[in-house]
Amino acid sequence: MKCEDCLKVLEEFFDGELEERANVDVRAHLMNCEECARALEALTDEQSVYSLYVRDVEVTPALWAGISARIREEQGARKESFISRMRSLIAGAFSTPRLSPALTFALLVLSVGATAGIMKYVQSGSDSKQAVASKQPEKLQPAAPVDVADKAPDAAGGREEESVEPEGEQLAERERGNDERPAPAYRSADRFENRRAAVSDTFGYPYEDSPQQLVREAEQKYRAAIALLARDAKQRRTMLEPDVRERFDQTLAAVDRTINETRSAARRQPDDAVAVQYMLAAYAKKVEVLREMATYRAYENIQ
Amino acid sequence: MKRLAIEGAGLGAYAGTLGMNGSEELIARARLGEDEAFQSIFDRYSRPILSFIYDMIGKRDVAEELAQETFVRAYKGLGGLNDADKLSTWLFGIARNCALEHLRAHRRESNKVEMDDPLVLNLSNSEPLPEGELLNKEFNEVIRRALEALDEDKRTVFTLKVFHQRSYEEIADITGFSIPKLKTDLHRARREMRRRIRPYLGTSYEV
Repeated sequence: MKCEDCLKVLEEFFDGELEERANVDVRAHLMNCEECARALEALTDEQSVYSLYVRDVEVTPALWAGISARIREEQGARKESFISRMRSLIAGAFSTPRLSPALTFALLVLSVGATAGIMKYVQSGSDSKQAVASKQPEKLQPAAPVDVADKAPDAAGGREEESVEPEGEQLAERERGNDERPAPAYRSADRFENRRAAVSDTFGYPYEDSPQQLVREAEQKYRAAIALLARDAKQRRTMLEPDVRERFDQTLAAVDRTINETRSAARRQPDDAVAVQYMLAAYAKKVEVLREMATYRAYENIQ
Repeated sequence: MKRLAIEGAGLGAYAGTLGMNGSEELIARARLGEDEAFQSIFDRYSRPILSFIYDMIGKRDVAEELAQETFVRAYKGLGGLNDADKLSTWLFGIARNCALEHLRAHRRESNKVEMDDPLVLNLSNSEPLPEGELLNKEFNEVIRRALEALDEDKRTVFTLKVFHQRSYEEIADITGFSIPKLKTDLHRARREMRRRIRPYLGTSYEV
């Protein structure tokens, strides 16, 4: 080993960090090289001098006392943290959920609206039943069929508002495009509740109007249906045999008179459930006649 | 000088006792909250840890404060120590972090010794003193200031190797340095320290 190589690893040799093979080589070189041996002695002397270094510091009982106090604080904090976590966990289990201001307001409005709607609904149903009960002690029977043949052909008392056109052409002009299906005829005051539900389904929101408004809506639906059917019936009418056409015309004229009469009566006494019932039945009859006319076929008549 | 060399070898023997058996049991008991067990760990390591921090910082009050912080952190982090045999290097690592944090926080305030420091210059120019006079306050001050003049990496490596007889592998564990880096830092640190304390050395030989 050359001196240059020895001096390069001499510190590692001194620190005891050389591998055994290199260790042996360095030791052998130091035995024969005075210069490198002096270098090793210098390192040893340095280490001896450093070992004399006395620091101006020593471990005192106060040091452990300080550490011990901080450890106790730490233990207390851990215990407190655990208790705090448990407390918040338990409190959280029984607390109400936090809502944002917007959600709180929305829920408030919703609850007030729902309450008002329910109250109005209950009140309306109660009033209707009371009105019917006071004027119709017995349960209403299904409306008597409107026998148009028995009706007088005069139109007395039937022009209080607009007249019903024989073929419903005016209505067809006014309400064309309204393809809503006619609501079922209500034949009993007890069906107010069903009617209310039907109207709610039709309009998509809870029914909140008075019974009179409900009647008007039903009337409008019948008239819309009549207008549509009248258009088809008119087309069919030209294809009908004269005697059949005449019979339909007579029937429709009788129904129109009935409608005018019953509607006048219903307008005079809007709380009279019987009058309303007859008016709606008359509308239903016209729908039935017009439908029959629009779908009339000669072969059916033949058969 | 030979007597000093023997004392120096004694330091290594002392350091060897740091890794004595029983650390695993002490750690297990301390983890269970036994204060006596943690106090035993403190008794075993407090002196080298405090000395190391003092070597890094150079101020007694700060060194005591940081030693306290080191053991409190050790107590908190004892659950994360997986290898009981590494307890010593683990504690030195915590101490080093505490010391570096302090140094970085007070870097502007640090009273770094410059090469034109009067004390250093005077000592460098003076003749070697008799052996009996080495053990005095001035010598200790010279060593302290010479340590302060080293940069943090060199001071850490030099202190751990020369004063605490840590192996290269242990120093690498404590500092995270690679072996080549710490060997280079150690060599340069020795050279700088040698130059600054030359008046106290019995030989002027330059390694």
